[in-house]
Amino acid sequence: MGVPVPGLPRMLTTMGTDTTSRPAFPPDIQRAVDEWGLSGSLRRRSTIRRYVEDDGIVVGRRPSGAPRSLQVDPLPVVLDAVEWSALEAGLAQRAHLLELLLADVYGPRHLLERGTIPAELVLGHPGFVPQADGIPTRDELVLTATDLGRASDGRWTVLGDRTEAPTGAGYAMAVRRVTARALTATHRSADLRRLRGFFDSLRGRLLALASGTSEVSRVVLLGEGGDGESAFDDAFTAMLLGFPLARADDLVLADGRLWLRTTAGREPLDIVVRRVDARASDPLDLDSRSSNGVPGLVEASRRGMVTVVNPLGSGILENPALGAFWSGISRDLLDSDPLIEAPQTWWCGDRASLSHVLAHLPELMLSPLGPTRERPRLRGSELSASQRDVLSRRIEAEPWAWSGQEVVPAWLTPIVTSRGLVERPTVVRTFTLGGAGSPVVMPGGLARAASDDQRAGVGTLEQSIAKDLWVLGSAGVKEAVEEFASIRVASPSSPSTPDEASEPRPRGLAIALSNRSAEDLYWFGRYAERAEATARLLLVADDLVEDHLNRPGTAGHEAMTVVLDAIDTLTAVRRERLLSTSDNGQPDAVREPLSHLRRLVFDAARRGTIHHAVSRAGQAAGEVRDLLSSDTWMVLSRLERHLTDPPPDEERLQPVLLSVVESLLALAGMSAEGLVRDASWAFFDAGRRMERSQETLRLLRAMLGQARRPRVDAFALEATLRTTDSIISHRRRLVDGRGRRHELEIALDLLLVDPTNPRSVLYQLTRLQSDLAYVPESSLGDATASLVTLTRSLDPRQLALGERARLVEALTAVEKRLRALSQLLDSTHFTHQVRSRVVVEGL
Amino acid sequence: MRAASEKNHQTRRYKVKHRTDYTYDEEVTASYGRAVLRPRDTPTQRVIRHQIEVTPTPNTLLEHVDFFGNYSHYLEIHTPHRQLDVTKHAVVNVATPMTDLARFDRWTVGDGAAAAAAAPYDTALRAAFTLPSALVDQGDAVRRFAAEAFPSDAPLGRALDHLVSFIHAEFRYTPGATTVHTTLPELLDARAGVCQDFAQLAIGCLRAQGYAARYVSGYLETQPPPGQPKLEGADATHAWLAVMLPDGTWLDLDPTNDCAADSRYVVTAWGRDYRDVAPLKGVIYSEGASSSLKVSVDVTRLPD
Repeated sequence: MGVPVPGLPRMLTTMGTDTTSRPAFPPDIQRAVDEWGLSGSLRRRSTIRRYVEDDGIVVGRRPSGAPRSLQVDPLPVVLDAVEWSALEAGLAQRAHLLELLLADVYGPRHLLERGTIPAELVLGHPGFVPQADGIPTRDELVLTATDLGRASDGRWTVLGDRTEAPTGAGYAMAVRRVTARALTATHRSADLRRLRGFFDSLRGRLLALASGTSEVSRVVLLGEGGDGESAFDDAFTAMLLGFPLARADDLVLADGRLWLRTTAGREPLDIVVRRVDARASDPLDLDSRSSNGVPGLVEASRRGMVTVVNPLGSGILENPALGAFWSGISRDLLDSDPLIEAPQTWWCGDRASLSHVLAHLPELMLSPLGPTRERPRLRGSELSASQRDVLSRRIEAEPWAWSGQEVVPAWLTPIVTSRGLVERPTVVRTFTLGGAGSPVVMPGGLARAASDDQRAGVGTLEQSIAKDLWVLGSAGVKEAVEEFASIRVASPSSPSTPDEASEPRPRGLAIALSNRSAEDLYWFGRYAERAEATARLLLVADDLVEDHLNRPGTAGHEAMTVVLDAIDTLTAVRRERLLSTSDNGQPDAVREPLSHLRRLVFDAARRGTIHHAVSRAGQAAGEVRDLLSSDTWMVLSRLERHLTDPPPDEERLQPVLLSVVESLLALAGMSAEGLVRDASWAFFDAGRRMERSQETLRLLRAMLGQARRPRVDAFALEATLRTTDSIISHRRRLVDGRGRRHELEIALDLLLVDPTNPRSVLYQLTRLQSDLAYVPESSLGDATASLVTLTRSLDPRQLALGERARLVEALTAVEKRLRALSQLLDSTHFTHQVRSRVVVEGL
Repeated sequence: MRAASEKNHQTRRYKVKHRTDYTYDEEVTASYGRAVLRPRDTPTQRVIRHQIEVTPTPNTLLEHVDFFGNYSHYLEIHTPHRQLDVTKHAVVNVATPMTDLARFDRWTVGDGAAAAAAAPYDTALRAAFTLPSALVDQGDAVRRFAAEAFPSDAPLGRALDHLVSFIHAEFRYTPGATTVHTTLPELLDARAGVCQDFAQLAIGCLRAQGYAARYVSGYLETQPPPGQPKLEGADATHAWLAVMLPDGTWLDLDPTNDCAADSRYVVTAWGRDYRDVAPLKGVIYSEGASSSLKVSVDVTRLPD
């Protein structure tokens, strides 16, 4: 104990005594890390990986299209209170400067007239929005982010600013949560600053931007949704703030206001937290090809009808060439020097700087004008001689569009690898609140380290390994939680439980559910239920195949065929008929049902399989991440894990199927026990009820729609009851002897009209009825009520004794009405009531 | 360039009517529009009257002055409609004096650019009109063309004359050959286009040599063929360019008609290129996919 295990590279353990580099950790944390040794470090790495999956922290997509889990290193970057306070002052000053600079550029433009910055840096920058000229930006550059590197002497250097729609604050909190859990003991003993207060302050600053038209501000985050690279960060931040996350289609300008389309009609909005690029945010005045914008948003912002945060046009601040003028800007605006510096920068629009850059290409980092996200910087040292020639010509052709920057040596921090601790180039992103009041810096941040040894620099978060940033010295610091007297905001979280994991309570004015979120919740419910129904059916099928496959001609074998055919009908996944024989000489026709069942479980690409339904459920859930509890992700990631690695062919499917059913039951339980009964819950539940009632009707039709010889019929009936988890109730009804009732009659009673069986169609419909009570729309209520009446009127005895064709007819009639109800719900409450959009340009 | 005629530089009064009429195949439930139609005052143009009419009546019709000093209208319609009609009426006085280009021959193109850059003018606008813009890029193709059309060592007055005549001679005027998205390299390949293309190409050449040059949208009074009456709606919108000269004044040039602008040219607005001053554009919500557009323009000379 206390001695580094052999195999742990010395580089870390000697770091503290190395005079040229700084210790990675303060002594007590260093001691803890030493005690872990290699195996302890690796254990924590895999623990954190599991937590990341459980929390559904994703970034970008894998080539297969599946979301990629964020890689997180268990070792935080740790800063003590003294180092932090110096950095914090520098970042606060920088955020303040950025805000003044922005206000000047879209306002009086003194800095341009005085020559403090060349006009080309603003007018030539793709982030400049002339349409936003004259729109006041005061107090509206609410969130900025800054990427920092660190020199060996401990000095910080600014590598870039994010001002357009800064991402990462949500990731910082997500990474903090998993790191805190994986490093419980260390985390608990460290005297650590918490992040929660930062989000409370952010919420407060947004609410403080009230445009004056309403008493209480309504805030919405405008994201790209779907596959957007910042989808997780958008949703997680929305969840932390308690504001809804919307997409462009959810918003509309009319009657002099911006509105959110919700299931309860239009809700007025005051503040839009823009998570899409300015250019994309208004197809009328900006990029007409954008589908992520709201036509008229620029105009609404000019009129002060709505406040856009960060302001339209704030992208001009993301400009590496500003580095050449930063000291001048600081002296001009604040009459003082910048507290943190950027690497020395030469703007090529200046003749002397141009010659310097051209003469020193191999030693410099070359940046085209524009946000680095879109126009990556080039490292001169990595270019061949001929590439440098091409670059030189490009720079000479448009010198104003280029700048060169001194390359700062990479900041190295240790990460856990299977070879022990290895040092990797690292960048840390910090977050600062501007707006009304003095700047507030998040006491932490998101570090990212290069994911492999090849890289000279650090790429995007997707290409990197994330690390938590710990700021020590909470003692004596009152976390920045702001209260605004005029607005009812969150009370600061109680100091006795500074729990990072606690969810925010909904605060301010609750906003109704957007149509799009309603649709996603509904389909989340439907796909989850579909996965469960399919899993139950496959469990029964797998048993039958196991028992009867090799006994052709028996009633069991025939029943097996009935079930397999029913599966064909219900899943619509085509069976592959293989003609070759397998290795052991058995004809494949015999193995075929089993491999088909496996496909129905694991093949995510095919509609109708469990994996497909689970993926779709996950996708829909991802769209409404801001509305779901974090436990949801644990269940969904577990489901995904069960389905991602199929067991070897010779192993049975039962364990996997049971785990799937178990997880889905956990999901159902969570929603029943953990969700407030509001519109979100209602749509999720309505989806489940709609799916379950349709599945049951279709199952009955497929399994019992045809009369077969009694032995086979009995098997089929049993299979149906087992699939619907009603076999026990059925047996009890059968023996309780109330009248002499036919087996089929009891089954139909149980599965169609029994109001007490949570599996019956009637039960689903009455639940649907109460779900839809949350949704104000009379046509829906009427349609559901008449469906309930229709279902109640079904007579199990008559249906059981009559021709099976009549049974099929009755089932089909109910099913058809159910589908019509689903369509009605769709047309009245989901997004596509927004018509297609056409952009017209005339002369 | 064609020689200027003294009488075309005298003061003239015009009435302009510009009607844009969209017909949609399906009902439009919401329409958001941006119009840059109201004419601006210039050193050579005075606006006497102006009016914009929109049918159906917009729920919102707002005006502001944009970054370039143009009047810009925002309109929002939430009344379901199948037809949108935007009509502008204006009466303006124009008095554009003749410019003696020979005066500028004491500068070469290169020296003149430096002198013009030193003339007093708004820093941001100068940069906006000197840097490349969305439809006026400054790639190799444009640079090569500029070297021939507007060489840096030529006397400035003659070079400007040559630039306008060269574009007029090298390119065919072919309506439909280009669209509002056509870029300069595409134009250089096609060798055919309309007024906005020629204006933007000239702007590209001027900016390549360091001049501030802006795109001007407006109208040009046309004459019917001799002996025939002028037809209703027969005029068109027009586009040309203006360049800042070493003395700080702006000179309007029309490569489409191979001349400098005179009092027959009525200015609406200016910007970096067509994108900044598109007379009317919009976003509509409709199930329909197509619309038809009818534009009619009348520029009528009034007695002074």
